[in-house]
Amino acid sequence: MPLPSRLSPEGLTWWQVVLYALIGNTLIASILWFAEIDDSYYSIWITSQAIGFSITSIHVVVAALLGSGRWTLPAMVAGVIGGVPLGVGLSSVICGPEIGTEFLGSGPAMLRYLAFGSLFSFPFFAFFKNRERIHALEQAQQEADLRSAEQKRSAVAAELRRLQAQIEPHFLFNTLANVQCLIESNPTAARDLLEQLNIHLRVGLKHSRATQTTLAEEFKLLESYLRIHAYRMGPRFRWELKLPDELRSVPFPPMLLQPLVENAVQHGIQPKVGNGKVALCARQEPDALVLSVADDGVGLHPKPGSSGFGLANIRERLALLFGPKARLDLKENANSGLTAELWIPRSDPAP
Amino acid sequence: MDSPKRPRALIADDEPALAADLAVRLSRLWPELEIAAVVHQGPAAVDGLTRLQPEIAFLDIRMPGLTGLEVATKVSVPHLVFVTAHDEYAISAFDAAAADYLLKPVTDERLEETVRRLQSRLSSGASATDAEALLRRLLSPIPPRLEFVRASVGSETHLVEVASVLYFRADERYTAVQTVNREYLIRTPLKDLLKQLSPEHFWQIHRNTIVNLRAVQSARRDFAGRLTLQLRGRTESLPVSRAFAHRFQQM
Repeated sequence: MPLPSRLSPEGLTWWQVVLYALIGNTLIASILWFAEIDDSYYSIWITSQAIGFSITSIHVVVAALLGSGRWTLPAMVAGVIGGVPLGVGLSSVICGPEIGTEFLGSGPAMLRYLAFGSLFSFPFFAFFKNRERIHALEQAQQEADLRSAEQKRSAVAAELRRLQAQIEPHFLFNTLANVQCLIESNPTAARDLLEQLNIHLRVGLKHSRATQTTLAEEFKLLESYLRIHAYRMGPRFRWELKLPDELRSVPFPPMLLQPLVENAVQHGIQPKVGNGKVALCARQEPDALVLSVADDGVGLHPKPGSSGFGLANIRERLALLFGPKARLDLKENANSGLTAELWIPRSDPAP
Repeated sequence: MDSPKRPRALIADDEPALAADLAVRLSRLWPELEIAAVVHQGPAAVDGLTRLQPEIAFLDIRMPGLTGLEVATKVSVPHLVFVTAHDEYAISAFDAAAADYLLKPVTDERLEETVRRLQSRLSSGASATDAEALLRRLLSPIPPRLEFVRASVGSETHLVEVASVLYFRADERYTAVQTVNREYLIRTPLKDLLKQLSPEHFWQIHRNTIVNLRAVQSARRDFAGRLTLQLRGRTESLPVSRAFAHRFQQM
């Protein structure tokens, strides 16, 4: 039967017990020696080790038989009662029979050994017990941490599903209103706009069911979004996409970039009087993939009660997907507007 | 002509196609209505309304410069119709302030109803005189909370989302803003920050520290009774001075 690596689920490992017992027994031997027991240090040391390890071993066996393997008082009592005679016997074999003779010679001597055994066992017992408690606490803490991390992960995942599932009604109805009125006045434009809406909805639906897509796919989704806004806002709105060929097939999680583009359009360009432009660009830095969304809109202009731009969710998902090195920087442009940049470290692949 | 004066309307919508379409459909459904102006921005709407004094205004809610609601608080219009794609503003709340509101895409049927409603209001001389006050009340609430802090990084100005800040810590000249990824330095003193931060989420815990409670993992007391806060995913711990320690008794 293979030995368990620990004496109890929350207990010490075998080698830790052996090490602590060795040190403790040596300490006891030294105390006894200083107390001027009339014997050589060597034989005192051997006797201490013999008795100490006997008590420990019997204790471990009894504790295991009692079920839990934990350090308990009954196991300790059994350890002392059984371990002291056993240790004395062992010591007699190694160092000569004097000690055995002394032990067996009189009742008081026997009692004295047992008393010393109990006395010295107690600190051990307390020490091991304490270690067990600390270990149990640490384990509980770790489990709690794990649970809370797991809860957070599932909360963020749920939020993502919600985001993926929703298409902003304002966007949808405004676009449909445009289609409706263009059908009469400009049927060609109406058809183009419907086609872009179709692409947007189709790719969006696909993404809403995926945990991973590619940059090319994501850019396709965002291009349709920007094209639709170009139709709606007329010539005052311009846009630009830059995706280098070598980055087209890079895997990328859905709905990470779209909120940034939506923010640029809705909070940057739409409230701006005059022309506006949104530029979406992917580039490879030495240690990171960088996606930037720049606009020349009104800049930071939080209205009371605004929704907080959804940045917290992006940050949480960045951290979950790419670890703490991934980041979202938001910068004010020198002239006007904002630039949002996602920095995704190169070496950390998405799980 | 001795017929009564023709009613006039202003249309404001930032999407040109929608504005033009509304103008066309209105003139079809209500030939007597004169479209005095079609504008695409909030300020232009204010300007047009002030200058032309039309009886009726069709205002889009989301517009550049000023929203339709803001326009309505700046200029008094006898009969307001809000036009929006989505009832995000709890439209029913200003039902009382406006003659009507329309949801995009606007159907002819619904627009006809609006026209009828406007016509009857015009003939009865009714007017939403309380519109401005009501709208102002709708728009004004909520004291401003700090959502972003500006921080210089080299030659760039970064915007740091307040919710992502773990703690603010002041030293002699600067205030350090710690986020998961970075530390930023700003010049705003702690006491100015404290006034603008949400008191539910940001607590001062020391003369020089404000902590984001959402970042706190645990509070620990050492042998001498000193309290420190451990933060999620961080190695550093923040001392809590005695003056602020009582707030963590329950933790």
